[in-house]
Amino acid sequence: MTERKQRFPWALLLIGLILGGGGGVWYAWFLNPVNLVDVDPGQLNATDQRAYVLLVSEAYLQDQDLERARSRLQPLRARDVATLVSEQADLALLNGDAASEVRALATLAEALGGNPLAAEVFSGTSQPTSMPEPITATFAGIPTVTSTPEQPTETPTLLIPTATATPDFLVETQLELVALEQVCEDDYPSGRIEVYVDDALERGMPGLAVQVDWVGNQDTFFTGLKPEKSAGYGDFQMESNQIYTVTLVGLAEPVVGIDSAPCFTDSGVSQLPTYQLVYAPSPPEEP
Amino acid sequence: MGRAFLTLLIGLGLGALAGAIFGWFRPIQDVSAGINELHPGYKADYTVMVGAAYAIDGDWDQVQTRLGRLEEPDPAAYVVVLAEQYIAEGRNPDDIRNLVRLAAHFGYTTPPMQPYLPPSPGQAVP
Repeated sequence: MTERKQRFPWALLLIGLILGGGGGVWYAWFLNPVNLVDVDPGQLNATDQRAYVLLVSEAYLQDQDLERARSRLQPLRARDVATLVSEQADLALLNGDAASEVRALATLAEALGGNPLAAEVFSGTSQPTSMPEPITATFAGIPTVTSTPEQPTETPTLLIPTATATPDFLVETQLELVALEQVCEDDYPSGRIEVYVDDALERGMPGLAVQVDWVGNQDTFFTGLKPEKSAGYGDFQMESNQIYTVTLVGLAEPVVGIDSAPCFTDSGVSQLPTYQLVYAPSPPEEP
Repeated sequence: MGRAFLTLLIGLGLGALAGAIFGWFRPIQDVSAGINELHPGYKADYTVMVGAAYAIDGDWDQVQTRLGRLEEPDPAAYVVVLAEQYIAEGRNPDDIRNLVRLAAHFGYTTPPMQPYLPPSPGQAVP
């Protein structure tokens, strides 16, 4: 008599595993998906992570506690928090976010050892790293300029900026001078070059470099440092009896012949004039 | 027959377990969370930072937007409770001041908050 040996039903086990596995996945994906609770900042979605980083930056502006800011950023598990904050600062600058936000991010990024572009505009604690070498001996012809401030020349040739301090992403936009006014009033600040730069939606554009040249000298200032006037506003204090050339670096033609010779107000007071230059995008060309 | 049925059941059970574990660890949906899902400790620190930012910029609309992200049913009550908790626990006075400033703007100040109120005249104290 021989006992018949029963074989293990492997096929049934396999079928069960496959069917059960499919059902399990379906349950986990659709019926009862993962729902995170009590997360740390590192598990936030990208938008909320940016909001969190901005908030850490603004809190740092108040308490100036770098270690605390660092510990608040640590849960984000970024490889380099300085780079993280720097990139967000530059992104905010590019997007034309509120100047206060860009300033907060740039300040924290710098404090962490980062080198955001936005810091050149807003923090005032670091020198621009992409400035050209000082230009010398390029102003020989300036005293003979005859154009008036009200009529800026279309083809200035006296000064050719040889380098640009403006990042490439800004050079793509072409702007033109849409208004140039001389102000000579008793109750208005005197001797300034005031630059307003607006985008196509008439919003001020912060972070743009404006180069000022006068005999043997050169200076650069940026828009956006006085957001209470306009996000796209920047100014420069002139010396008396100089001829200035103003260049919105990489974005518009230089404006020559800004003359700081004293003018007379309505009440007869002699003071330096203030010039207001307004830039806006060039209108589309006619077909 | 019984043995075969039992084997099939075991296979289904093991498969379902393995499938569910796989599905939870490899979700097909975005499982990143919003600020409302933060751990209560992080939520509290977030609120402190909102208060710090408010102390800098005074932008109340921004405060409301930021506190709204917490999705607390009553943001004012949440801030008041948190401020009192910080006071009771003897936390950082600057943090307490930031929270009390928010609570005061909501119109709620309680006796424990009095020492931390900013010296702004005309603040309503219930």
